[in-house]
Amino acid sequence: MSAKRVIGGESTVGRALRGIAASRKASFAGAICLILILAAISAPVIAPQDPYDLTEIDFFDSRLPPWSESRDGLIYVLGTDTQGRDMFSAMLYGLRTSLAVGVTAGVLALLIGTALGLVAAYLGGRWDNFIMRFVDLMLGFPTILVALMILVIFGQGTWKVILALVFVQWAYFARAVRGTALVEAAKDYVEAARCLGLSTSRILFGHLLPNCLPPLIVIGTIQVASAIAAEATLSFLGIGLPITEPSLGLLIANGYQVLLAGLYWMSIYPGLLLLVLVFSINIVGDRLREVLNPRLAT
Amino acid sequence: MTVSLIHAKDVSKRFTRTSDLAERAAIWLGAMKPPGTVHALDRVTLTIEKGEVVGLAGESGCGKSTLGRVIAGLLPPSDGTVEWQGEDVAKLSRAEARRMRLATQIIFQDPMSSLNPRLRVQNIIGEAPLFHGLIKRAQARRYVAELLERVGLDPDHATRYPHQFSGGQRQRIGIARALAVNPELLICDESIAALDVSIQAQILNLFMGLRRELDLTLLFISHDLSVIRHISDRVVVMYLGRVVETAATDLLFDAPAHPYTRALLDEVPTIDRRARRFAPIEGEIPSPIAPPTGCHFHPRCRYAEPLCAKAVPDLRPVAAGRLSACHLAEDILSASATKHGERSCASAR
Repeated sequence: MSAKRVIGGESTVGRALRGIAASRKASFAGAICLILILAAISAPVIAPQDPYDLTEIDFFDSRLPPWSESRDGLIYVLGTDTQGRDMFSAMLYGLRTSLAVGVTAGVLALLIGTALGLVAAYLGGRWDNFIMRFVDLMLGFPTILVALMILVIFGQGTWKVILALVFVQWAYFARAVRGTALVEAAKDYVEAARCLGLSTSRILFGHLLPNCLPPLIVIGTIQVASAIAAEATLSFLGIGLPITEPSLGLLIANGYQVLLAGLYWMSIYPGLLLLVLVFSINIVGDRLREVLNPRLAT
Repeated sequence: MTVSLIHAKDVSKRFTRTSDLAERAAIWLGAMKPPGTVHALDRVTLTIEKGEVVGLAGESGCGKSTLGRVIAGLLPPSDGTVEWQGEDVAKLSRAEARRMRLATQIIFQDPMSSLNPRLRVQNIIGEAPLFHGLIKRAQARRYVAELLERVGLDPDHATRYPHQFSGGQRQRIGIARALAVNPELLICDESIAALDVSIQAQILNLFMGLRRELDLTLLFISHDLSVIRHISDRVVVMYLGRVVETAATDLLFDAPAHPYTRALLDEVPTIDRRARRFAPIEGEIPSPIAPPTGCHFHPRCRYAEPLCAKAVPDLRPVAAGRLSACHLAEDILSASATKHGERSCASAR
């Protein structure tokens, strides 16, 4: 009974935060996520060098190992790349791009998938069949393959990468929301709302949606991580973001070309950062799943 | 003649599960039977006059709730018509249909699931009247407070969430939510079945009080005959999607005119009969997908004759103000009356 009360009562966000705080692993991962996000937002302030500003870059400083000193006294903590850019600064900016693309794609996919999932669950019948068969189709193809095809067709560009990521991810949200919404729609409060003559959109978004939030938060978190990873994969393959907006994946790809020459720092450090980022988000997401919706399996 | 508040005429409701592509293929190949149709309601006629309390009794699965939802306009009937104050609901204009929809409200069984757990009480109660423009936003707080007081709750609790209330209190919130749109007919669908017995009495009294104060009409759906007897003016008994008997409460409980009603009444546990062994109605309730031919009750009926398996008995008047759907209604009625006489003698002794 007390467990039921907690589920019914507290706000979803409050429950999520408390759940993260209760687990040492999750709080640690959450702290890392927070630090990385703050670092990405404040990159222009904390980066020692603006990697886009060619006047700041000295070509004679290229390929320097970590802890080298530049001629004007700047220390390249993580070394420089083949152009002479400070790796640490480049990674901060790359993190910024990766996070922006991942979060934008995740949020857009969430909005589209949620709307379609709710409609499928509430209207049922033909709509449900149509939407869910399309979802099955989407989930049947490997994510990267579909994204690759879209990018090959539409060409490169930041928004096109986001479009490709949204296109391959909305189906996860639609499926999860539909499942929860079906359970919720069968409850009496939805029938009561219909009996009170409320409009369909009001029932969908005012009554059903708030009760479908827990799985959405969980999947949203995990899908942001997978969007970041997918974007890195696409960039690594050379068809992701344009070279003017280097993301972590692109940095890894650039460094990879000289990795066998022993210049390990150019790809290893961005790779580590990507790993830590995706790993931390996933741990937070897993913890959210435990707290908010134990029966969810994705 | 005055117009009835609700007149459901020959209402049928069938539920058929639509098969998907794979199932249709399986049926076509003979690997599967086509899904059956559930006859939840089979030509049900029910009239509710303004101001009366009608008790709707029957076993679970007999179509009581379906009838309630059809009358409330939540489910369209497959056949037949529902008239609201003499007008066919299906032919009403949009505005009139909405007015009728609001005038009929349901009080649900489970107070745990009938309130949206993410809304505060003031929003649960105030949302619909605001949405329909019955009140202005500035009045909402007072309006909700009045309703809370009316159903016996503290108006200061308006900002709480449903989980902070007990089952009985939640049911009161559900009632306040229904009252907020000024209904004329309340359909109480097993509204007290999920509550503790002590709370049941309180909620019943609340219903009776509201009926007096607000001139409400109640359709009280319950499987609990003692509750029905306590609250109803008139009782309608259903069995497997059909109405089998209708009569004023006293008449029906004194001398039932249908074998099913009689069997039901024999099973009501009362204190003066505690020594008696209960003889449950024989057999299971048949499947509504493949109901028995003729009278649905005949396989379990003590009085069944060959005719009962062949002809569907009409719901027909058998005495003043009573209808029964039994070929032998008159015999049953006189037998019940005699038996009742004996019983009274016995209790007098």
